[in-house]
Amino acid sequence: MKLALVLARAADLPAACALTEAAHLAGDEVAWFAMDDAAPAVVALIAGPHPPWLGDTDVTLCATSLDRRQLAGPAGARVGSQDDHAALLAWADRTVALT
Amino acid sequence: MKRRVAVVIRAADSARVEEAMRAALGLTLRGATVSVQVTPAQLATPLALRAAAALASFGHHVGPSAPSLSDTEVLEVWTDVGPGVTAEGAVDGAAEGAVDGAAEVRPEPEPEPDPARRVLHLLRPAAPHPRLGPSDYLVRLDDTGPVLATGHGAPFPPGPLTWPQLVTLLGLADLVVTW
Repeated sequence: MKLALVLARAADLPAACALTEAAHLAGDEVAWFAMDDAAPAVVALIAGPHPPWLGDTDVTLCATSLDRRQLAGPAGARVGSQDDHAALLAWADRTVALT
Repeated sequence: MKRRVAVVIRAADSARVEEAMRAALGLTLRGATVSVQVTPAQLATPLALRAAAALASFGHHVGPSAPSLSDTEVLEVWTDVGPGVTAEGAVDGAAEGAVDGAAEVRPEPEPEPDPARRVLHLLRPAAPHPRLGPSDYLVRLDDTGPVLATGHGAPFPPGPLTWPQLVTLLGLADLVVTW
């Protein structure tokens, strides 16, 4: 299964992490698009001692959401646009929108 | 692959409505058909109004009517940011973008359940209970983890789920909606 997670709320990050780890253990592919309130939370996650499954997760951060908060994308993270959001939904078999 | 995407906006905060409308407009960029459920009262800022006008001019639905669950492949429900813990560890009830005392907007009508499809409803704490179809699953996202509240024909009994079990339910559903 190709699982997409759309994140727009920081408070949902723990659930997103648990779901992503479980999906990887099941052999699923997982990709994230993080915007709005979730973008700075994901920046902090990547910048910290991030869990091993994060390296297997395709993460894109919304550039507009970062710019509005005067944040830069951390090393190794892709900074993209709403086109990446659209591409993610086109790619996935299932989408969990934590918006 | 082109998709049929629905965006249901249940936020009262104008900043959240703008973000939802920005997302809805962006979702058209790969050819998806987008249906946005939003009331005129929610479209309270120039940015939100411009996005709505652009979507409508491209032939996408923008209005208070509920999206059809019969052919929707992805559904994003945008709600206000409730109290919770931010990445920095602070309670975000008073953070930027949060709504101070505003009631969540619930456009009517509710999406009509489709008996032919199985929807996995993920319910955040304090979220209103959605309408369920006969084969739908309802999973509460409690602070302690996911809990299967309703699951006709589900491979697990009602009660606490592991996250791998929730991934199994994801694979069995036709559509996932987080409220």
